Amino acid sequence: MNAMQQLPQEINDMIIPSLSKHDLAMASRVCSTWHDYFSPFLWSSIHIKTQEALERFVSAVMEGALIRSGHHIRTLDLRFRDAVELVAKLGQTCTGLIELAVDSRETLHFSGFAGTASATSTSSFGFYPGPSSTSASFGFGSGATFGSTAPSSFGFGSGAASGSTAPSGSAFGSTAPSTGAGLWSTTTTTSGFGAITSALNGVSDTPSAPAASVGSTPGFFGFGAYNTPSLSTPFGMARPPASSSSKTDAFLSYLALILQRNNKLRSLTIKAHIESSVPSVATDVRRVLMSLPNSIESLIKCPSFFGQQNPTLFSDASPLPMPSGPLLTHLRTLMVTAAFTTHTLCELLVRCVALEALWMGDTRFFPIGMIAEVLKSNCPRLNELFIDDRIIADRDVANLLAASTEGWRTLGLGQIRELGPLSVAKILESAPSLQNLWVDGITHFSSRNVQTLLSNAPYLKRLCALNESKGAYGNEVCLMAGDLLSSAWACCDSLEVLQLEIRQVPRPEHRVRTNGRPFSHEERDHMGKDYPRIKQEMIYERLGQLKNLCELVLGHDEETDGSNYGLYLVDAQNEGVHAHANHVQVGYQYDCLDMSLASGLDRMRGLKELRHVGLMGMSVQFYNADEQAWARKFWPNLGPVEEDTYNFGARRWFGYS
Amino acid sequence: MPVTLTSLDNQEFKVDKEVAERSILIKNMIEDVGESDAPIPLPNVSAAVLTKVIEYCEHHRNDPVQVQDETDDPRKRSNDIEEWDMKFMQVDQEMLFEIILAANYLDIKPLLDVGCKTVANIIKGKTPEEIRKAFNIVNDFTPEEEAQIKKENEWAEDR
Repeated sequence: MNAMQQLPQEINDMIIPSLSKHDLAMASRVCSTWHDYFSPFLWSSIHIKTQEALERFVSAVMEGALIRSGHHIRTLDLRFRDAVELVAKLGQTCTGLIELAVDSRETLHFSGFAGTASATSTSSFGFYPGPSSTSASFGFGSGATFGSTAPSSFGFGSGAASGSTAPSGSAFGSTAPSTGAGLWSTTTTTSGFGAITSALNGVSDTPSAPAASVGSTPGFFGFGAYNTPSLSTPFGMARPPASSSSKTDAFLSYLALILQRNNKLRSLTIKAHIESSVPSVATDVRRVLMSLPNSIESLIKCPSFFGQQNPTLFSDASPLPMPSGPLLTHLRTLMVTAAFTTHTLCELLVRCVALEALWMGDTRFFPIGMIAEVLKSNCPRLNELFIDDRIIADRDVANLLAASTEGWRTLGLGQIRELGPLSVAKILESAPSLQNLWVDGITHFSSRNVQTLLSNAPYLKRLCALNESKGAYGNEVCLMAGDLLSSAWACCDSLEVLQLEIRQVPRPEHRVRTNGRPFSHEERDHMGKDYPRIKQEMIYERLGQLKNLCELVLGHDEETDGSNYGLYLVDAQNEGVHAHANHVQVGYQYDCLDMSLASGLDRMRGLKELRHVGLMGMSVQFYNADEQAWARKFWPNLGPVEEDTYNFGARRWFGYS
Repeated sequence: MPVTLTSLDNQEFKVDKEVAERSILIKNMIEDVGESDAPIPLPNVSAAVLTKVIEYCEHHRNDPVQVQDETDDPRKRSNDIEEWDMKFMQVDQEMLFEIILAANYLDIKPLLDVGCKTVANIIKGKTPEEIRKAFNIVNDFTPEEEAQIKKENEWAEDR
C-alpha cells in the first residue's frame, strides 16, 4: 500500500508545506510515484544564495536536472552572475517562472564555470537572435537523453564538472556571502523602507531570509523603518572590484534570454552593477526592458550605480519618447534608482500604462520634467510615489507630485533637505486622497503643514514622520501643541499609525528649570498654574479620538546622549547668564507629553485597537505599575512598550495586522 | 441534549451535542434539520474510526474555535503537537489515514491539522529508505535512476 496515495490531493497539499526542502528531496527519491508527486514542490522555488549552494546547483544542472525539472520552477533567486548564465544557457525548460531575482555578483574563486564560460560567452554562443536558435545550438534537443552529461562544446568543459567537488569547505564555505538579501527578504525584520533603501544601497546586512511572496503589489513595501541608510553615499565607493562593461553586457544578455522564455513572470528584481554610461550596456539595458513579458507586475532595479552621467545632459525640453516596445499592461510597481540611462526609464514608463507605484532613489539624476510628463499622460492609475534625494530642486519635486491624475494614496519622501513651498503645496493638495505619508530626514515641512494635512486628510491611515537624524539639521517634521489644538483632525476614524514628534507640551511636574529658577511668565503661566496639565489633557483628548489607532510612536527632539545639549540651548536662550551646561540634568525635559495618569492619560482610554506604543527619546516614566494596570484594562491589545530608544533601526512594522 | 450518530456499519453512538458539533458537517446538519431525535447517518465513517474521532472531540470539547492564522510559518507549526494529541495519534498507519479522511469528511479542522502534522513528522528527517520502511513502499527505481535523481536533487539536500 502506498500510503500517500490514499489521501486526496487537498490533504497532501496540507502536508507538503510542513516539509523542508531537504525532506522534499528525500521524499522524491522514495519511488517513482512519490518522485512525480514531490518533485514539483521541491523544484517550485530555488534560492541560490551562497557559493556552496551555487556549486551544488551547477553540478545538478550539469547532470541535466533542468531538463527533467526546470518546468516546475516558479521562484528563482539567483544571487550570482554564474547562476544567471547557467540558467540562460541550460534552462530552456525553465519557462514557468513567476518570480525572478538576479544579481550580477561575481563568484569568488569559483573556477568551475565562470572562467571558461564568460570568456567565450558573448562571442561563441551568439545569444541573439532569440531563444529558438540558441536552444538548437546548445544541443539539448528532444533527442538528448536524460542524464547525459553536458557536451563539452558548451565550453564548460572539465572545469565545470569539477564544480561539485571543488574545494568547498575551507575555500568558500565559511566566507560565502549570504548577504544581499535586501528587498528579497522583506518578510523579516526590515520590511518597509529600511529594506528597500538598504536594497537600493546594495549593502544590505540583512541575514538571508525566505523570499517575499509573489503577492506583493503596490504598497507592499509598507511604510517603513526610519533607518534609511540614505542613497547619498558617494557612488564611487560601492564599485565592485572586478566589473567590466563586457561582463555587464553578457549578464544583461543572459537575463534578456531568460526573460524571453518566461511569459508568466510577475516579479523581477535585478541587483546589478550596470555601467549604463557605456553605450553598448545601454543597448543591453534596453534589450532587457524589451524582453519584459506583459505579465510583469513588479520591476525592481536595485543597483549600486556608478559612472553617473552628468545630470545636465538630461534636458527636459527633449521630445517625449515613443513607446519602444509592447505595452506592459500588468506592471504596477516600478522601483528604480538612477541606473537607467537618460531616456531608458522614460521609454519604459511610456509602456507602463497600468503603473500604480513608482519608487525612485537618487531622484535628481532622472530627467524629472520628462518623467513627470510621461507619468501624467501615460499612467492614469499612478497613486504611489517614493522619492529620495538629498539635493533635489523644489520645482522638480513639485513637478513629480503633480503627476498623479487620481490623487496620491501613498507618498514617501526621503532625505529632502529644505522642502520648498511648491512641493509643500502639492503635498497638502493631496490630503483628500492620501492614505500613507512617510517622511524621513526632510526639513521645512512645518508644524502648521502637518496640522493642515491632518485636518484635511479623511483617509489618512499612516503618518510616519519621525526623523532619524535628530537635531542635526533643525526644522525636522514635528507638530507643535499649539497647532495641534488649533483645528479638528479629519482622520480620527482612519488613522492607524501615527509616528510623530509632538512638541511644546509643558510638563506639569516640572515647575522649575534645571538651574532651579522658575519658568518665565510667557513660557508657563499665561493660563495659570494648571496650564501645563490642561494642555497635556487636551493633547490626550485629541489622541484619544483616534479610535482605530494601532500604533503610536512619539518622539522628542532632544538628544539623549547624556549631554542634553538641546536643553542647555533652551536655557541659554531664555536664561542668559543663569544658564550653565553643568546644571542640565540628564533626561530632564521641560516639554514632553507625560504619558502618565497623573497628567490625564485616562483621556486616551478610547484607543481600543492600540497594539504598539513607542516613546522615542522621551524622558517619561510611562508604564509604571498604575499605568500598566490601566493599559491592560483599556488597551487590551497592547504589546510590549518601547521606551527611550533612539536606535529605531529595523523595527517591526506590521506587528499588528 | 445528546445526538445519535450512525456509522457506516450501522453502529449507533450517543454523544453530547456540544461534542458532535466539533464537526462542522454535523453542526450544519443539526442546524438544517432543527430539533430532532433522528440519528445522523455518517456513511463514510466506520465504527472503529468514529470511536476515535469521538474520543478526540470529547477531549477537545471546550477548545476555543480555531481561528485560521495565515501568518504563521507552516514549517514551524509541524513540531508542536500537543502531548495528548500526539498520544492520540499513535495508531497504525491505516487508522491514521482513516482518521485524516474522516476529519476531512466531517470537517474537523484541528483534527485534520494534527493528522497532517503527524504524517509530515513521519517523513521529516528520514532518508528515502527510512521513508519506504515507514510507509511500506517498494522502491521501483533502478539503482542508476536513483543515483541520477540523487545527483539532480542534491542542491536541496542541506538543512
